[in-house]
Amino acid sequence: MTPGLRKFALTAHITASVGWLGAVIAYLVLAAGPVVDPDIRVARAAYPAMELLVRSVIVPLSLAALATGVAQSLITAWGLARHYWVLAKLLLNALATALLLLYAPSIERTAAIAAKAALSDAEVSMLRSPAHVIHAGGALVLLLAATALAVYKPRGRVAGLSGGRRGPRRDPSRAR
Amino acid sequence: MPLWVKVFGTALAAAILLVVVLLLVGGDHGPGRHLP
Repeated sequence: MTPGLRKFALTAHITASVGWLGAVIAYLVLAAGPVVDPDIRVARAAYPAMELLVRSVIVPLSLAALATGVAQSLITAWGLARHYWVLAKLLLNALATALLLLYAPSIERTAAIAAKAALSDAEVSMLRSPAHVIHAGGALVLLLAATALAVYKPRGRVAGLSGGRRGPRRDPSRAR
Repeated sequence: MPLWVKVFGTALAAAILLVVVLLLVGGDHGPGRHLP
């Protein structure tokens, strides 16, 4: 692995991960609109935008972050299961992606209801539900935790898989 | 095993358990529960 290719892979992973985080923040703001503003036009505008954001940005970036993260660990000395922080970040990304794929159909249904010409009281109540804010807030917590793990790289090698040796504190991807 | 791994593992296990319980037992926990 040449340093140039390694930097490119790292850039791709950071771009996908930070892009995912930013898109979730935008989604959270859109989700909060119908909850805090009683004007139903806010919900009618927000949900189609949220559905588009999930389908076109958040799901592709989540899959890209997961794929580039796995690739990044395999092409560097960090490995996929040698350090706890790498393993923890992989679990967080995999969990967040799985929950996102399970959640995506619900925003599609909500956007379809928001587009209806006439809304029942139950549908208006559904559009003002904070459920999407709660889901986006949970996703934000997971992604912030993954970002913190990537920056701080807390100590700890996985015993059994790596022999439990205490390695150097420095970034092994920078080893010459 | 470092302390942070134990704390993180416990929190993650609790989160996964919550999700599984909501999916298996809770039925529709999303905004669709407002619909008849």
